[in-house]
Formats: sequence, C-alpha cells, structure tokens
Amino acid sequence: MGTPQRDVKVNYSEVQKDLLIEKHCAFLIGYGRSHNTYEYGATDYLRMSGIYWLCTCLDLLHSLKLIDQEHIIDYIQKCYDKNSGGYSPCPNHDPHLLYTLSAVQLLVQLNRTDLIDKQSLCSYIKQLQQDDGSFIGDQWGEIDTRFSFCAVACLKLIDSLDTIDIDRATNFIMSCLNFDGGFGCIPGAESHAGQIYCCLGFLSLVQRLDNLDLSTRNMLAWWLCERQLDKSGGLNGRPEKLPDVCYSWWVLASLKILGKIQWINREKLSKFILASQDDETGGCSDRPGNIPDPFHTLFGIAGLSLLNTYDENIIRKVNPVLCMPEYIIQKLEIKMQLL
Amino acid sequence: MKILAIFILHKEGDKKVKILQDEFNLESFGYFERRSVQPLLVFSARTVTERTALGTRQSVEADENANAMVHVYVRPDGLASVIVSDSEYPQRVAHTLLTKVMDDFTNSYPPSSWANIGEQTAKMASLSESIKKYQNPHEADPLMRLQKDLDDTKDILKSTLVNVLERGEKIDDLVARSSDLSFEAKAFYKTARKTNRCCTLF
Amino acid sequence: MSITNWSLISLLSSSIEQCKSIEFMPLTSTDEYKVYCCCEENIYLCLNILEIKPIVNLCYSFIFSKDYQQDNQLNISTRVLLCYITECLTSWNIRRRLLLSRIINIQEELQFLDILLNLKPKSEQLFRYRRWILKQEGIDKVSTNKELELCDRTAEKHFINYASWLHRRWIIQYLNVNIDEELERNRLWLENNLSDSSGYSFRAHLLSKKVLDENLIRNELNMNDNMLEFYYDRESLWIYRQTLIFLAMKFEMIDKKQLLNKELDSIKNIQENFFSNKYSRLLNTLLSSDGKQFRT
Repeated sequence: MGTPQRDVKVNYSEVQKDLLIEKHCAFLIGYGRSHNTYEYGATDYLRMSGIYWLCTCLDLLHSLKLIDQEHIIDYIQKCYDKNSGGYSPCPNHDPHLLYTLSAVQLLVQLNRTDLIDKQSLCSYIKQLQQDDGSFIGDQWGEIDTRFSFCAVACLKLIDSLDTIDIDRATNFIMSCLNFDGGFGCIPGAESHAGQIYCCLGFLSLVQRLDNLDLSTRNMLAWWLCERQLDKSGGLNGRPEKLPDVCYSWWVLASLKILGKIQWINREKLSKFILASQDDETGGCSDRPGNIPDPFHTLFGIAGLSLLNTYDENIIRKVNPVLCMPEYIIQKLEIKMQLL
Repeated sequence: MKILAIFILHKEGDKKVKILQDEFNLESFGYFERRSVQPLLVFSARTVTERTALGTRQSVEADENANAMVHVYVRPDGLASVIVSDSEYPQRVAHTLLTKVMDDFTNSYPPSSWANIGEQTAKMASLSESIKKYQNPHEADPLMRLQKDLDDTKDILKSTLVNVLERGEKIDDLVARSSDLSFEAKAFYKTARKTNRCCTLF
Repeated sequence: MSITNWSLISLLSSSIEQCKSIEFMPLTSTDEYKVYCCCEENIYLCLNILEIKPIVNLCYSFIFSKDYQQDNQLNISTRVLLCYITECLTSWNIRRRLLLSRIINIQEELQFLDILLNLKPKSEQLFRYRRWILKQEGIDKVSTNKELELCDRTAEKHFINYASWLHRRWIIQYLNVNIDEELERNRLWLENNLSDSSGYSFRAHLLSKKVLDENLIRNELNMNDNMLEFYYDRESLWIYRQTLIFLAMKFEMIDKKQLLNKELDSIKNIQENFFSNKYSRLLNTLLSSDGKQFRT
C-alpha cells in the first residue's frame, strides 16, 4: 500500500527549485496596490496584518525600500483608535489586539516608534487581562492563548512588559498545556501548531521556558516534528491535515525556541516551500499548485530563513519569536529566552 | 465519511458503457449543489468505467481538491459497478461492497437480460438499502471478515483521473463535451476547480 | 448612493431572513442582466459566487456610510455582508450592539447563525458570536441537544474542524452534560468518521474528565484494537493510541515497563506499516529512557 499518510502529491522533478526573489517582490508590491480587486474588499477585516506580512517579507528579502513607507505610516495612523488605545485592521473597523500587534510591529520595523502613545497602548493591553491571567482580544471577545502572545509581544516591543501581571499570565498559559505535550487556545482545547507557537513564544518573551520540564519539552518537540509529512516533506498543523506552507513557520519557530530544529528533515521542507512558489505570478501558496497570497509568502520565506537554506545576503535572518528581521531585534536589544 | 453514489453498469464494448441502475446519497449537499453534483457523479462513473479493462479494479481520485474517490470493479463478464465516496471512506470496504452489489444484481437480473435493460431502468430494491446501510463502514465488518483470507481487495491500484485518461485526452475537454452535464454543472465544475481554501490563523 | 443599490441589499437581506438554506454557486445567465441570487420556494437561496465583489463592496459602503446608520439599516447591511465575509469582526460587533438594544431578537439571530453555519462550518468568529449570544440569553435557557446537534453537523461538514470541537468543549463545560453519555455519542460519531483526529482529541479530553484507572485505559485500547484490525492505515487511530499511552504513563501506580512491553506485543498482531513502525519506535524509546529522551 505504500505510505498511507494523508498528504499531497508533489512531482519534485517538475516543480520550481530556485527562489524567485524578484517575482515575490513584484507580487507583494502589486498586492499592496491592487485596491480595486475583490480581495481588497474581502480582506479589509485583516488588512493591518496583511500589511505586516507584506512589509516583513519585503524586509527579509532586502527590499523594504521598494514600498511607499510614508503611505503605510499614514494608514496605520488612520487605524489608531484614540478611545481605546488600540489599532483596528482598517479605518472604520473596531480595534483588536491582533491588529494592534501588527501595527506595533510595523511601526517598529519602519523605525517610527515615536508615533506610539506608549501610555495609552499599555493601559489598552492592561485592561484586556482577566483575573485568571488570560487575555481577551477586545471588549466582546473570548480569551485565547493567541491574545496572551499578542499582549506580551506588543509590550516587549515597547519595553513595557511590567505593565501586566506576568505571573498570572504565565500560569494561564501553563494551564493550556495538554497531556500530549501541546497547547490549545484555552485550557483543555485541542493541541494546534499555531497555538503552540503562541504559547512557546509567550514563555520565551517572559523568559519562563523553565516552566516546561525536560520530558514535556521532548514530548512537545516529538509532537511538532510528527507534523512533517513523509512524502511531500511539508508540515501540517494537526494530525491528518494536509501540509501547508504557513506551518513551516508555526512548527519550525516552535522547534527553534525548543532548540530542536534539527529534528525536522530540513532539506525536504525547503523543497516543499520552494515548490509552493507560483512561478508565473510570484508569491507562495499554501501548497504546490494553489493560488499565492502574502500570508503564505511571508511564512514560506521566514521558514526558509529559519532553515538557513540561503545566505543572509539573500534572505535576512528572522527572529523566531516575533517573526521580524533579527537585525531590528538586535538593534532594540530585545532579550528573549531560547533553549 | 460517506458514500455519495453506487452505480451498476454494463460494459458492452470498448467505449460503450450503459448505466443500468444508480442510487445517490446527496443529503450533505445543498439544494442547488445537488443538481450539479449528481450529473458530475454520473459523468465520472461513466468515464472511469470506460477506461477500466475487463477483470480489473481500481480506485481513482476524482480531483485533488474535490475530496472524491471513484472505486470501480469491472468483472470479466462485462458487469461493472462504481462507488463514489469521499476520500475518508475506507477503500477496502468500498471494494468489498462492489463485489457484493454485483452478486446481488446478477441474482436479480441474469446475464442474458443485461443487453435489453434500458439506460438507468433496472430496479433492484437492495441497492437503495445498501447505500443507506453501508454509510457506516462497520456494517461491512462481517463481509470483510468473510473475504479476509481470499483477499483480492488488498492491493488495489490507486490512480488519479488524469492517469486514467488516454494519451491526448484532457479532463476539461471531456467535461465540456459531455452530454451528461448541463450548462450549470459545467460552470460548477469550473468554479470548484478554481477556488482553493486556505487557513488564516492570524 | 443610488436607491437601486440599497434595494438590492434589502432584497438580499429579506431573502436571507426568510430562507432555510443558503448556498454559494455560480449562477449564469444568457440574458444581459446580472444574476445576484436565486431563491426557490422561499426556502432555498443561492448566492452567485461570481458576483461576490460588487455585493461586498456595496455592503461596506452602506455599513460605513453616514446616511445608513439607522438600526434597521445596519441590521440589513451587516446581515448580507456576513454571509459573504463571515470573519468580519466589526460587523459581528455591530450586531452585538443591535442585539443589546433589542433591535435584533435572540431567537431569530440564533436561527440565522444556524443557517449560516451550514455555509461556513468552521468560522471562528461565528462560533464566538454564538457563544456570546447564548451567554446573553442565559446559560440555563440554552438547549444542550440543539447545540450538540449543531456540533455534530458542522464537524461532519468540515473534517477536523477546530472551531466546532472547541464549541463542543464549551458546551461540556458550561451546560449539564453527562460525560459517559457523551463518550458513547462520541464513539458512535467516530464509527462514521474514522480518521477525524479532532474527534479523538475530544475523546481524550472527555476521558481526562473522568477518574482514570487502568481499566478505563484498557477498554479504550481494546476499542482501538478493533478499529485497527481493518483500518491500520489511519494515522488518527495510531495517534489516539499514543495519547492513551501518554495518559496511562501519568499514573504513578501503573507498571510502565509492563504496559509498554504489552503494547509492543499487541501491535505484532497488526499488519506492519508506516504508522506501526513509528509507534513501536516510540514505545522502544519510552522503554529505554523512561520517557526522558525521545530522540538523539
């Protein structure tokens, strides 16, 4: 029967093997300009993150200078909500912690932290913390470990981590640890590679990775490297799901934090990411043959950066916790824990 | 996990395939969707049977994104059956059932009568029961145990529709030419191919 | 903004309100006019997948227009938009405000979500909004069966559906659900959905809520044995088995060595394959290192 694992077929003799840098840049820049396409209206609700994917990817490819940075800074300013202190994904939309992190990441990356009203940002994040240490994403929302990550990542970037109760926040994250070694979005929820990344990223930023004992670290790394599919070499986010380029980021970054990136077959994964490039339009898609978008393009390129497939002159080193170029993190002297 | 359709067909010549009877289970589809899905199932059952040699079994992936498998068994005597299931449905169970429905059919309609049955006019009652009963593959456990030792269902060729087609044939052309398919069904096929979904965690 | 545009959105909204099913399909017309939707018997509504863009842009232009901020207008424009763009949080928030000011009726809104879930069975925002409404209504008024049925339906519609199983965990936690009955429902569901790893993860979650003992784990392993007999090529069955072993290893009382050796013996009866090999490698590592070192 051969390998029965659920996977996609990739004909590796025919797919793209070279990194299409120029095409990716053109794709990303074009995406930012295409205001009249359907995607533009349809993706309004996450636009701030979209711009972050786009800019970070261009920066990793040494091409941030190709976009109109003033235009983006104007846009971010328009999305600032004075009442709450947070940012919305798009003008007129409601602010949310997810897009606040994207906005802060962008302002840091564009070297315009002077535009951040630190005090109101801190109080915005502080009032989202709940009694059990968890975070809600907005006034209506439920709690989610993703929001815990967003909160500490924002604060770390503006050097204000002591704004929140870190002990209780850490306790909440630890309460989401499952017996298979993974983390879910709330206590008891199914383990998911994206949520694992958020929880490990959180522990790394608050430098509390020691809360994970040796056998938990091993179990978790085992769970993560089981995400690599035997045939295609791509990674999935949960068992029996199809491989998807974005998990090259969530899974790899998690393994990097755990100091176990070598548990993955790196060559096979590189090939899978390269095969997911669209050689006509540029950009990466979730898996070979599908339609590309900026989200998968960033996480494909960032994955290749973690894998050290290319020299730093081609793809810049990425920070595994904040998914931003490492040179910026170094410049700001942001400390985090890696095992 | 489900069976979408069971067909009993008669392969009369190299490219001549007649559908004797069919049963569908399309509850999981919407009202409008069903109208396009049903003819597409008929089309794929016919296309695959036409391209399967006498005395062979295979399981064909209809489309990488479509989540449908076409299981076919053409008996040496020209009687054929097709089960279209989603890709979750166990392949071995599907093939066990193919054998069973043809045995049942031969009991109801002797080989001599096949040539005279009109397209989609056979009415063996047990076929509609089968499609209901075996939605749960565990119902087939007794059949599977029976067949376990003399197993010809273990190493069945897995293939894709592209591989089944003959040199020079293109699936899009076949769809465009097919008389099984309405204008709507053809449009549905095209958009189904174009839309791929993706995850957005953030 | 021309009046015809608003009447188009109003028409769509009232069709959505009245129908019992919504679908997205390509609708083609040989005539010159555009087809936006097709409604049959006032029950089945089909929205044209080829005309998404103009509708979405129209909805946005009304939602954020100064001239269309009356409660009933916002009710209409957000209802239509959410059928197309279900993850639009801001539109859900507008509906939250409308619900709090009683412009939107709770029961009617639950009905709307019910229909929309068939179309978007894995929408995170939709499930979050639904839980928010149920809390507004009061947890004691919620129909447990209705919510469980909805989970069954969405989990079947979309394989390995994180949002749906998360909703189910919420129901188990906040509504009065008997864990043993739920385990039995789960067993039957898994029979028809053999390789849904989320379903197994949920099962392990249910088990963890019980007083665990060796017998319970043994019964689960036996159930897993029966399924592996025919379906040894399903990864989720093996992962579930692995989870059971991890669960068992949590007990201080259990003789771990004996358990692992017994496992190694019992999988010899199953036809060897990719997963069984992986599994026995795991067992051997656990045996040799007491679970401390997985890989070198």
